[in-house]
Amino acid sequence: MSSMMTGLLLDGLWETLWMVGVSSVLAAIGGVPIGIILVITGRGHIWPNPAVHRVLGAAVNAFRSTPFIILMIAIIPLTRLLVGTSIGTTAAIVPLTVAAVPFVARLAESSLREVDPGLIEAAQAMGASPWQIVAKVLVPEAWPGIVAGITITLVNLVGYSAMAGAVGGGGLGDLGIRYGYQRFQPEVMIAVVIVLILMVQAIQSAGDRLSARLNKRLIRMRGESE
Amino acid sequence: MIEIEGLQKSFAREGVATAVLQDLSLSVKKGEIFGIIGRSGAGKSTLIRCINLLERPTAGRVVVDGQDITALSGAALRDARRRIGMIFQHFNLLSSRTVFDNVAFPLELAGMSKSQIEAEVLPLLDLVGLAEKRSAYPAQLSGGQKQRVAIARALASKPAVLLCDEATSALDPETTQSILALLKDINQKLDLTILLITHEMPVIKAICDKVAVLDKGVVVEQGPVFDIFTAPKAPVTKLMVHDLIDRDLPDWLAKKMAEYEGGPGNPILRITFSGPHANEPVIADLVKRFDVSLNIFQANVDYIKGLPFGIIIVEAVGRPEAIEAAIAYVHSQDLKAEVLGHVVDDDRAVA
Ligand SMILES: Nc1ncnc2c1ncn2[C@@H]1O[C@H](COP(=O)(O)OP(=O)(O)OP(=O)(O)O)[C@@H](O)[C@H]1O
Ligand SMILES: [Mg+2]
Repeated sequence: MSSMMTGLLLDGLWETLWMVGVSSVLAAIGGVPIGIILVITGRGHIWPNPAVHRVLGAAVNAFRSTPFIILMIAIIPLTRLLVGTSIGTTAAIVPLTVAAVPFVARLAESSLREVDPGLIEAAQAMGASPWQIVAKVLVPEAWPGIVAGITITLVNLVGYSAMAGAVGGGGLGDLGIRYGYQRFQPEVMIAVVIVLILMVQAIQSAGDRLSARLNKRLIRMRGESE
Repeated sequence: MIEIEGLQKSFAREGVATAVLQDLSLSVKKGEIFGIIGRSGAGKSTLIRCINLLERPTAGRVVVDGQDITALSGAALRDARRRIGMIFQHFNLLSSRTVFDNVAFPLELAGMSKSQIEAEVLPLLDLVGLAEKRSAYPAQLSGGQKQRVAIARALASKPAVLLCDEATSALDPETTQSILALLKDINQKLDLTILLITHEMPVIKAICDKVAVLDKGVVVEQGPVFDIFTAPKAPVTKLMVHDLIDRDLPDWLAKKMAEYEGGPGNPILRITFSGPHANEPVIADLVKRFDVSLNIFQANVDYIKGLPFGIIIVEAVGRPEAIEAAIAYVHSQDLKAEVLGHVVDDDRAVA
């Protein structure tokens, strides 16, 4: 492969990492709190509020059920407003983030919901406020699960970013389509696919390892008993 | 220390209110270990959860250490809860925190500084015997160790009372004994009032001063453990203590007694030992003083909070007047002798 090709690949890789990195950080910042609100406003939880619960849940579902490609086009005005243009890598971050926020929210919600109600009750019995329960019980206990959810989101964003690339977003997807499809250079397409596979592999195994390390429930018993 | 007055709790199920606790009143004195026993579904957990308002009563009052808990809400309730420790059947430790940080948790909630927390937590870990486990995570501990951490955590905010919801039900008998011993120990060292609920009679027998028997949301009887268990009145209690005081007679003996109903023959006596004379050699005395010999069919001695309680079932063989006198002597010793029936020896019956 020519050095020009390698240069293009590196550029594409960098653009993809930039899009995926920034949008996943933004998605985590936006999605985890929404997941928390979805859980605690649920019936019988620490801050029951049916109205908030229902409206937020419906909004999350609406965004999640819109296909990414449609979402991307539909929010072009928003993208222009925020970034000044709807074309380019930075512009692609807007639809990627909008698509990933509800995704992270649902994954965080399911991890938070799995926190043993007994722990919440014990904290209440010790005089914890709802805010303390969120900060000191729910989030720390669900954290390994939330990290696993963010990992899945990252992997999905890699795929979405390729789609965003197809409509002028740059990155590896854009490269693959421009050279591989439009200029009949299948080896570029193959190289792009291989790089994407390696990237997803790396993200997934790093995420799995991090989540497992954070999960103190998996620490083995050292064969001592009373 | 804990006053429960006219407590009622009902849950709405499919629009219908079902009463789980009905007009329940209890009083627990300072320094007492008070047990509540009842079958599954009797309402024990609901009752104990009403004390720190994890469950809000439908009616009635709960006063803890002079403070009407049922009148509180919000921040005032949270403050009051800090004075009420609680431990649970499944320990409820935070898996993401070490032993030290779990015990520190209530202190963190109260906004204590790091150095203050350290000074409070270390003696508690010593008290429960887990000082060297301070950096372990709950997943690395046995059930008994987890409950010790939970006890230390409950004590951290210096509560006036400790509530125990089936605290030993997930533990094996040996570990149960060690946890009960620890509870007894902190009860004495800290003069801590303990209210515990359980469905296991051995727990009550081991450490409780008083017991209330809960059945279908009603306290059917309460009083000192020894009195309730040796002279139960309510049918549920009788059923519970069946093994302790009311063992079934061996089949063959029951059959023989039925044959000779009303006598004549040798009386079958049930002698109950309890209280101060329980340790005296009454049986030997009867044999020596009254020339009555005794065939022991069944004997059982149990200990309730260290006091012996025994039952022997014997056949008394001797002249009727001698047996009469022997029974009178038993009564004079503050023990109890009941004539359950009569039997006749097979060989003498033939002769
Ligand atoms: N939140 C609730 N909603 C509806 N019914 C409830 C609720 N909590 C308890 N109950 C009902 O109240 C009754 C008493 O329950 P509780 O848990 O107090 O019993 P328990 O004596 O602790 O039993 P166990 O020994 O099995 O723990 C049960 O019939 C239960 O179904
Ligand atoms: Mg229960």
